[in-house]
Amino acid sequence: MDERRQERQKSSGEKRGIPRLLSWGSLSLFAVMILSACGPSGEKPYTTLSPASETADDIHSLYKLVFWLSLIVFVGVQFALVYLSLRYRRKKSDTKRPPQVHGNKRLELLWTIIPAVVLLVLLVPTLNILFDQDARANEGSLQVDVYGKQWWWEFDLGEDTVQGGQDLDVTTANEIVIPVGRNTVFNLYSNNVIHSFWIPQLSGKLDVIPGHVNSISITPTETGTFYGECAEFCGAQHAWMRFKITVVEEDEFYAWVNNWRTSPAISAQEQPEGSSVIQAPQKFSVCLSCHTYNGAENANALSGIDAFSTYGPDLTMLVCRETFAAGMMEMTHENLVQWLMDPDSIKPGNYMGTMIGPGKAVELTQAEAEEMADFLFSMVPEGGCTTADGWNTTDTAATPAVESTPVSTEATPAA
Amino acid sequence: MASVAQPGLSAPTVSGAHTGTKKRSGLLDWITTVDHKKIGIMYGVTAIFFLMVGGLEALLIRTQLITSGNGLINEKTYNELFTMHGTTMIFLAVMPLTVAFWNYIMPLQIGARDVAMPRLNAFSYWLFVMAGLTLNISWFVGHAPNQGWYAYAPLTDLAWNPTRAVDFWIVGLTISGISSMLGAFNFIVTILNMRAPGMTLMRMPVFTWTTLITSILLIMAFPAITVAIIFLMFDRWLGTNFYAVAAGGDPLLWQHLFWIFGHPEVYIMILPVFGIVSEIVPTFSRKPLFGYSIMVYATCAIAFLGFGVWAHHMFTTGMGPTANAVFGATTMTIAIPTGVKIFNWLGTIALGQVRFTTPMMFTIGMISMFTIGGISGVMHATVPIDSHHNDSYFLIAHFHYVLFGGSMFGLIAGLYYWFPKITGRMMDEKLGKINFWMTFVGFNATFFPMHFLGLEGMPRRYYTYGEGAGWNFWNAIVTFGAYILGAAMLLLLFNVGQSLKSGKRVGANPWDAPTLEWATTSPPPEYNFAEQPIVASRDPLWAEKYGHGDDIPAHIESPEIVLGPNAGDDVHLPNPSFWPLVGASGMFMMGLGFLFENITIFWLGPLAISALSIVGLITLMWGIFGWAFEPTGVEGLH
Repeated sequence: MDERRQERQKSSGEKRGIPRLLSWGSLSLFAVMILSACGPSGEKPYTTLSPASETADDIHSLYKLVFWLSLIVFVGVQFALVYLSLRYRRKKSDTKRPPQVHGNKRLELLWTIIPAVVLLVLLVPTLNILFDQDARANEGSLQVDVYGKQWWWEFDLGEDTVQGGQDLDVTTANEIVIPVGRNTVFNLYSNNVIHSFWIPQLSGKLDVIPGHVNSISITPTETGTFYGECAEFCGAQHAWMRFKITVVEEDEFYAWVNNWRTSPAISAQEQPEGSSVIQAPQKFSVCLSCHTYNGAENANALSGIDAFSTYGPDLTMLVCRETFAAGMMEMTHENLVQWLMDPDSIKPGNYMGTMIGPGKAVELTQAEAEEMADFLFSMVPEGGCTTADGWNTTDTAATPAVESTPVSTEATPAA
Repeated sequence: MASVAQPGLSAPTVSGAHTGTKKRSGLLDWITTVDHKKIGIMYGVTAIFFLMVGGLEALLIRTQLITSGNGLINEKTYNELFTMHGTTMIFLAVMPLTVAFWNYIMPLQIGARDVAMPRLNAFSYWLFVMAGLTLNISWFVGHAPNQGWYAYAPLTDLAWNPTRAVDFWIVGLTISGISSMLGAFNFIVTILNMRAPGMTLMRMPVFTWTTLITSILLIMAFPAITVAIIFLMFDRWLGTNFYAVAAGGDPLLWQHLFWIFGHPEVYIMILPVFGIVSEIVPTFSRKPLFGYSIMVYATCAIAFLGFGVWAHHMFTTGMGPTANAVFGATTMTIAIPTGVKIFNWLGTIALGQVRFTTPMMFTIGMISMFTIGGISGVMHATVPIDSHHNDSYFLIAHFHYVLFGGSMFGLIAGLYYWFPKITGRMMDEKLGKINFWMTFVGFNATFFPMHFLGLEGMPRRYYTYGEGAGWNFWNAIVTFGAYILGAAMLLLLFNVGQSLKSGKRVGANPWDAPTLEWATTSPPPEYNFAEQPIVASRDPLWAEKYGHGDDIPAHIESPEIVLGPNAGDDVHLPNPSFWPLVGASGMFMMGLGFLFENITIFWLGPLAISALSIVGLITLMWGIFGWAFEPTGVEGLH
C-alpha cells in the first residue's frame, strides 16, 4: 500500500487532477446554493419559501430540517463518489490486480443502520405535523366551502363562530377575503373532475375530489394578498384556474362581507333613488341561465355542489375582482367586452364559449357587449368596490361593529 | 482455481460449419426470428425510436414553456404532448430498453442458448410494436390521449373526455401490458430453468438477478392496472359506473389501483438499471461487487417494499393522518436498501483500479444523479413537504432524476458497455466522452432548475403561465438545457451509427469483464455457446484468467453435461416462425377495431364491434393455432 501511495505522489498529473476536480465540484455546488438561495429577483407570488400561515410555517420548518439533512447526505455521497473514483484510478504502474474484497459485514451493517436513524429523525416531526394539521381542520372558527369547477373556483363563506355561528352566506368566485389570525377551514367539494387547492404561501395542497369532502385549515399570520392555483390536472384550461386570497384585519373582513351583502340587486326597478346602477340589458337573462347573483338569483337558483357542472361564477361584485376567467384576464371594461363577444377565443374550452360567441347560440354585437359591460360595471355596492391593491377602508359606513354586533342575516341587500 | 471447468470458455470454438451469424440478415429473417439476440436488438432499436419520439414531445413541451404567455402550442396539443411524452417514455422507451438488455444479455449471462419460450418472446416484441402503433395512431386521427399518463378518473369519463383519445390509451396500454406480462413469465422461466450447470442462484450475475426480480414485479403489478383499465373501458364503452360518483362509484378507486401498479412500475424501470450498474462498476474497478449477497437482498427488499408504498402518490387526496403516516414511514424504509446499493457501489470502487471508460462514466453519473433523485424522494416521504412538492415542478425534477438520471444514464452505460458484445465493434470512446459530458450538463441544466420552479410554486401540466408568476428565468434555462440534452441524444445515435460502420473490431472480452456473456465471441454465434459452460464462481472469467478463487465452494454437479468438442454442429435451434407476428397483428386489428366504430357492421349488445375487430379476432386465433401446431423441427435441445 505504501509503495502505491508513493507512486501515486510521483505522478504529478494526478496531484493536480484531484484538487482541480474537487474544487470544480465545490465551486459548482457553491454556485448551485447561491442560485437556489437568490435566484433572479422579482415577485414570486406562488413561492413555498415565505410562509404566511401556521400551516405553511410548520411545513417550512420541516422543510428546513430535511433540506439541511439532505444537503449533508448529498455532499457526503457526491464527495465520496468523486473522491473514491479519482483516488482509485487505474495507473500505468498498476501491475497487480487490486485486492479482491468481497464485502465487509460491519461496514454494510453500518450503512444500513445510519440511514435508518436519520430517517427516524425525519419521521417524528412528520407525524407531529400530520396529526396537528388534522386536528386543526376540525377546530375552525370560520368555514369556507370551496367548489372546484372547470376552470374556476367558487367560494361560499359559511359558519362564523365569532358571529355566534351564523352563516355569513357570501358566494363569490376566484377571489376571497379572510381575516388574519383566525383558523379558517376550507371544505373542498367538486361535482366534476379532481382539482387540487393550493395556496403555496398559506398551505400545502389538498385535492378536491368528487364524492369526497376534504378540509384544510389555514391560520394566516400576516395580512396581504396570496395567490392560489389548481394543482391537479383538470382538463384543457388547468393552467388558468387561479385564485386570490386577501388576508385582512378582522374589521376589514367584516367590512368586505357587508360590502358584498349590500351590493345592489339585479332588478333596476328595485334600486334606491340616486343609485348609479343602470337597467339590465335584455340579454342579461341569458347570463342568468348559468350564472348566479347574490348566491341564488338566477333562473336555476343553483350553486355549490348542487349546481350543474357547467354553471358559471356568481356575478355579485364581479367588477370588484382584480381579474376574471380565473386569473387569466385583468378586470377592465375593454377586456370584459372582448370576453363577452367571444370567450372561446380567449380561454378555449370554457363552457361559456360553447354557448356565446360568433356562430354560437347567442351572439353579442360590440354595442351589446359594451352595454352589458356598462351594466356590470355599475353593479357595485354603495361606496364602490374595495380595490385589489389598496384595501378600501375609508368606506366606514359599511363597516359594522366587530364581534359585539353580529352581522345581521336579516339585512336585505341595498335596502 | 480450477473453478471453470469448460475448455471453450475463454476462447470459444465457433464451428465454421455453423454459419448462423454470417448469414445475411434479410427482412424476412428479422420478422420471423425467434433468436433472443435478434429480438433484443429489435427491442432496442424500436425503443430508441420511441425514445426519440418521446424526446421530441419533450422538446415541444419545453419550447412552449420557454417564456410566459407563449402561443406556440395550444392547450389541447400541449395536454396531448405531455400525456404522450409520459406514456411513451415509460411504456415504449425505458421499459422496452430494459427488455432489450434482458433479451440480449441475460441468456448469455446464464449460459443459455435462448430464452425458454422463443416464439412467445417474439410475440411479446410484436405486441410491444403494436401497442406503440396503437398509441401513436391517435395523433393521426386528431385526438391523442390528453388525460395525463396516470389518467385520473373522472377526467377520463365520457362526460369530461368525449373523444376517442382515452380509448386509444386504454387499448394501447392493454396490449403493452400483455406484452410485458408474457415477457416477464418467459424471463422467469428462463432464469429458473436454463442456467448453466453450476450457476446457483447466488452465483447469478446481479443483472440477471434484477431481471428475475423485476419480472416478478411485472407479473404482480400489471394485473392491478389491467383491472383499473378494464373498469375504465367498461365505464366508457358499456356505461358501467366504477368511477362515476353520481352513481356511487369512486374516483379514488382508480388512484389506488393505478398506483398499486404505478409504484412498482418505478422499480420495474430502475431495478434492471441497478443490475447494469452492478455489472459495470466491478468490471471497471477490477474488483468483485462489494457485498454481493446484500445487493441481492436489497433488490428483493426494494421489490417487496415497493408494493407497500403506493399511496404516497396520494398524500394530497385526504386519506387522513394515519394512512399518510403509515405510507410515509414505509416509503422512508425503501431508502434504506436503496442507500445500501449506493454505498456498496462506492465500496466496490474503493481500493479498486478505476478505468474511466464511457460506460463507467455514465455509470458514475448514474450513481451521482440517482442519489439526488433518491434524496428528493425522501423529502417527499415527509408528508407535509410532499403537500407542497406533489404535482409541482419539484416532483418533475425528482422523477426525472430517478428515470433519466437513474434509468437512462444506466441504460446508456449499458449500451456503451455491451455494444462491443452485440456488434463486435467498440463504440467511439472520444465521442462517448463528449456524449457523456453533454448529457450530464444538459440533463442537469434541464432538471435541476425544476427544483427551484417547484419551490416557486409552478405546478406541472400548465400549458402556459403569466409573466407575473415569476417563473420566466428558470423556464428559459430549463428549455436551453433540454436542447443540449436533445443534442446529446442525437450524438449518441450518431456514435452508434458511426461505430457500427467503423468501430474498432474487438474480441470476446474487450473490457476484461468477469461474467459469462463475455466468454463467447462478439457478436455471439446464433447458438451462443458452442459448448455448455459450467460455472463454479460468481465471476467465472476472472476466476479462470486470474485464478483467484471465490469464497464460495465450487460444486459442479454433473460435468457430463459438457458437450463434445464439435458441439456447435449439433446445436439445434428453434425454427423461425411467422405465427407470433400473425397473432400480434390480430390483436392489433382487434384493438383498432374498437377505436373506429364508425365502420361498424355488426352490433352485438351495446358494444360496437367493427369488421376490423372480427378480422383481428380471426387473425389472432389463426396465429395461435398455427403456432400451436407448428412443428418445432427438432426435439431435444434449444
